[in-house]
Amino acid sequence: MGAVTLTGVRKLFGTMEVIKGIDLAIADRELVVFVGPSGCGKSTLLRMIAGLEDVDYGAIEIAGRDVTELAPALRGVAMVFQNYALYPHMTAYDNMAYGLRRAGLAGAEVDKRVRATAAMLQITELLPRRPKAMSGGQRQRVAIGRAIVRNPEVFMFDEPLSNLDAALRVEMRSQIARLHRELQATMIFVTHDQVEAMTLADRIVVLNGGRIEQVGTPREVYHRPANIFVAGFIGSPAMNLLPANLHRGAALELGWGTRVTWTAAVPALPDNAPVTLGVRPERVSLCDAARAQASGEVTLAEHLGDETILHLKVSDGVSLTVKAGGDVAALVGDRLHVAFDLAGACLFGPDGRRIAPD
Amino acid sequence: MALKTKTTSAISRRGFLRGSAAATGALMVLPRGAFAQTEGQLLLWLPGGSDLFCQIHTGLLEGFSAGAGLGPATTVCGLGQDTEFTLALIGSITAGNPPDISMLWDSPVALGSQGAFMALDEMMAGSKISIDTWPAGLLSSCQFKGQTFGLPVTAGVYSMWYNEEMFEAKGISPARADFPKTWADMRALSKEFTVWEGDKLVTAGFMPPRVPETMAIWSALNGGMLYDEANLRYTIDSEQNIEMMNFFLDWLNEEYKGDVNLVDRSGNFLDGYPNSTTGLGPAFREGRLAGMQSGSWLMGDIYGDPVPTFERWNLAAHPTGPSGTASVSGTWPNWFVIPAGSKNPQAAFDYLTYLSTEGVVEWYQQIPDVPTNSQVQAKSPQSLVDRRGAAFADDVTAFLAEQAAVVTPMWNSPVQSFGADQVARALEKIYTKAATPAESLAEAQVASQAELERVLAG
Amino acid sequence: MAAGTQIAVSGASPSPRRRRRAGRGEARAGVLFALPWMIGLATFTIIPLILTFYIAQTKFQIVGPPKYIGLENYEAMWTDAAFWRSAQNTLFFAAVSVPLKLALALGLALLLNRATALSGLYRTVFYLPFLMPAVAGSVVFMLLLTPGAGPVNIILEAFGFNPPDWLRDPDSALWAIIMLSIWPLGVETLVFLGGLQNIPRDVSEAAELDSPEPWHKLWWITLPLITPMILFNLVIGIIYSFQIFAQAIVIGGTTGTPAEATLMYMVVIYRAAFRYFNVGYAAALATVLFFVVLLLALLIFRTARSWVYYEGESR
Repeated sequence: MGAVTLTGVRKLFGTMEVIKGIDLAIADRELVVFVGPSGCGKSTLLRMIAGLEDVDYGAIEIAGRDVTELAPALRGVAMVFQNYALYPHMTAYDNMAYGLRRAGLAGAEVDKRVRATAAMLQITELLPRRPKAMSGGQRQRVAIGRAIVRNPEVFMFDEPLSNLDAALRVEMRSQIARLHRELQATMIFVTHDQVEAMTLADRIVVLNGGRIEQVGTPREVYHRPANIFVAGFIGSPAMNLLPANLHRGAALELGWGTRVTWTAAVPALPDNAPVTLGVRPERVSLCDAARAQASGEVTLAEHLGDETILHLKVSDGVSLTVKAGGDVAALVGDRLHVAFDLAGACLFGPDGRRIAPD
Repeated sequence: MALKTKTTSAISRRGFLRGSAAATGALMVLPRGAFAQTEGQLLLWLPGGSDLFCQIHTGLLEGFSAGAGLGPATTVCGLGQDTEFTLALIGSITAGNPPDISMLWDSPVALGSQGAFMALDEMMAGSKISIDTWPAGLLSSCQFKGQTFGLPVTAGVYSMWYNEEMFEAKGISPARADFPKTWADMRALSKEFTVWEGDKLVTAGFMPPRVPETMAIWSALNGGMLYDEANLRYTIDSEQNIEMMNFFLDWLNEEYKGDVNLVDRSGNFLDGYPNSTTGLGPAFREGRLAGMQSGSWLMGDIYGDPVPTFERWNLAAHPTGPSGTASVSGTWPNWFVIPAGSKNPQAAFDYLTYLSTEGVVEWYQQIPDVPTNSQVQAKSPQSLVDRRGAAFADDVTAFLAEQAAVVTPMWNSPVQSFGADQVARALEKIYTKAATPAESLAEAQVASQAELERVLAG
Repeated sequence: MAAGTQIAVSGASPSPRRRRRAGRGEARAGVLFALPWMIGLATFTIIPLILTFYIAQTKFQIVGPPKYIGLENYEAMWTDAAFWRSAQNTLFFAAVSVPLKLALALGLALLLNRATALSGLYRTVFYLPFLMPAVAGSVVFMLLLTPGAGPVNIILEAFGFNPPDWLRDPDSALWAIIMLSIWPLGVETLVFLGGLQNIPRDVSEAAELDSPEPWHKLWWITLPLITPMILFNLVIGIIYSFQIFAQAIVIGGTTGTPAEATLMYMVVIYRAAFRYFNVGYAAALATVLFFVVLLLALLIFRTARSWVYYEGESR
């Protein structure tokens, strides 16, 4: 059905390679989110799958068909754009009916499908309106309707929520999740917002510099980031990445001299190998000086109500983010002591890859 | 008549290449001096011409002003080269600030009869050039209902040009006296030269005339006229004119496949300059046309232009038509007028007197526009003397003076341009066989006569 | 009026009178600023227009006083073959050249709209003919079209065609003028190009996802979105086509050779006024042209409501 397979896909803009060899298999009915910093190539990759950008090397298959050279409209895909991309001179009804009409469907059939889709999305009252007379959220729902009505094998969303305000974004997010369940279709969703990625995705594809850094479920990329990039990119506030040296005998000497015991298995490394310890802010807790594994001065305290995010300067060049309870009343300039819960921590080798847990 | 554009096509295209709004624009951009009209200082406008032409006129006017004790004079050169000269002139007259003197390349009758130019008759009566020192046919191009609105100071004089080298090659006498005296003789001689290669005319003898400006001459050669000045009537469809056009058409059919387009595709067989529409070169100067009618201005260009040319041409009188009795000539004059509103009319007229009798000697020597006043003792153009010797140059000068004396009246209608366009249209219809000569000429006659009567109605 | 409102709000007594006075002061300043243009419009457009209507009812031989003759000039038109012939030629010219020019300009704009390395150069090249004076362009065309010697017919003959004697054949001469007038289509192309580049890329891409047929996108998406530019080019094109002059007079002279095939309405006006000095008649001809063009423009604007899409409106 709607499986998508990318094999050795590359893209060049002039002499600059922006997609550097992507192999990826997206299962039928899966919702995959492409996430990464701006310029990482996530939108380009999506547009290549849709056929809006040429593929320079490699092949793309959709539902078992090689579509690499196929026109966008023949690929069985539909796309929802960041700026909605509604036809401004047409009513919502005509926007949704346009593709069906051009495909040669009879008027009655077109009408039936448009009205059914509109009912599903609760936009029936918008049908006679032109885009100019709608709010951003309404336009985006019509744009989604235009995609749905064509009954494609694969839905593509190119940062569809980034022009909406926060409340609307949450609502639309849940609506897309609901649609995914109801339509049972393959969806590819591009975003730079990791909350969207975490909440929507069956699997997340983390892209950086035209390459895939990691493919995995939200839990995997969060708890077992493949490398320092993913560790730093996924999660907010970001994971603490602390320089350390690993001594034979499982002792970890942190950058500021403190030694901690590392119990999990690690592959063989030379003695005193430089590694990076990754600890999520919620795994760092405040403690008294006696048990302290690190101490530092508060440089920023973000009181969010139910929690407090503290930024500590531990030593020159090393800072630490701590997620503490909402009742912590620390102020900038206070000196605090913290301890690490290494149970959920990750260790990254000299090449930046995760070496523990395996 | 230093400009060759005046003869280049069947339609008078000169000047009309500019946009209709040009005149207004021109009035705005004219140099201040062009309007700064002052008593005691003469201001002259020229419609165009070469730098040399401008120099000559500037020099003559300055010399005259100094001699007559007038203030410094101003000559505005080449106004018509950037704009519609006539419109600029009318504008200045309407605004009450015209030049004292203007040269014209169109007949002054139409505008003069409406009061744009001063009538010169009173001043002429008391001057040293009496009215009978001008050839009557020439002066009529400035006259309307007995009033004279300008002077035809010099003129391009039309005559028959022929290629002595081509004549000799066929064993035909190149002497002027032996040139055909009748259209029938000319037509018979023409056949000797005419050679077709398929649809391409390689060489030809003479062409049936079809330049609209010269039809008044051909009509006169057949004892007719296009416009009867004395009776204020057009006579385009007179018996003589119908006979004339039938003769020419018959000639075209016999010798030129009845197709003027084939002729025009083969080269320019109409005049002595490259054709402005097709870009094709002049057959006469290329040695492909034995003879043609042309104005005398060609003398100034025939050896000078970057067009291939032969050495020995000569001039002869026009042959006469079947109903004609005597050979006549025709001209395209350089008219001079004194616009109504001139601040120095007497000084301006004195200058015209000087120019017509003395200034023209220098003018003709440098640019061969033929002096028309009978008192002038012309000296042959220097370029012609240099090229062909004094004897030939003096002979040509004398011949042209003779021809200027037998000029037939033309350019004399108060609706000159309207009539000319009607004649052009009739010629086109006749030669492309869209209508018979009788039909076409009748149509032109009716339209021209109606326009004449409309204007004369006051 | 922002300043006026401010004064009213900050003033001690926000009386309506004060606000009105301040507004009137601003209005006066506004009128003063606009005055030079209003005077210019009156002097160079409105007064000449009214004068034209008046002169059209006079006999006026360019110098001397005009003489009032009522509607005689209009009556003369009725029986003037040149009027009818030139009107017919001009209407044919407009009906053929305007759609042809618009279609070609649109095609060119669509090509130029594809981003290529040289599109800037092409844009300049296609605009250049517009900068060439119409007279010079016409002369070049006449030379190009010369039978036997001109390259156009040499090329056509080389491909086995039997090309006409363009400028001498009454059946083809008007087409030569049509070609000549279409040639400088740089301005129309730039206007279209502006419209095309105003279409958001994602809208265009959405259309590509909706149908694989390029002409679907052209007909249903691209064209409707540039209807304001089509309207603009259409109205300007019609106005200009009725005023075709320089090309016609260079090729056909004042008699519209061959066989009056190139006798255009503006040529008839021109020769009446400045060659035959019959300014009253020319003014009457110009008046008729003015109202015909005005009527056509109004008609187009009236229909435009149903086919032109403006971005600003939210119907």
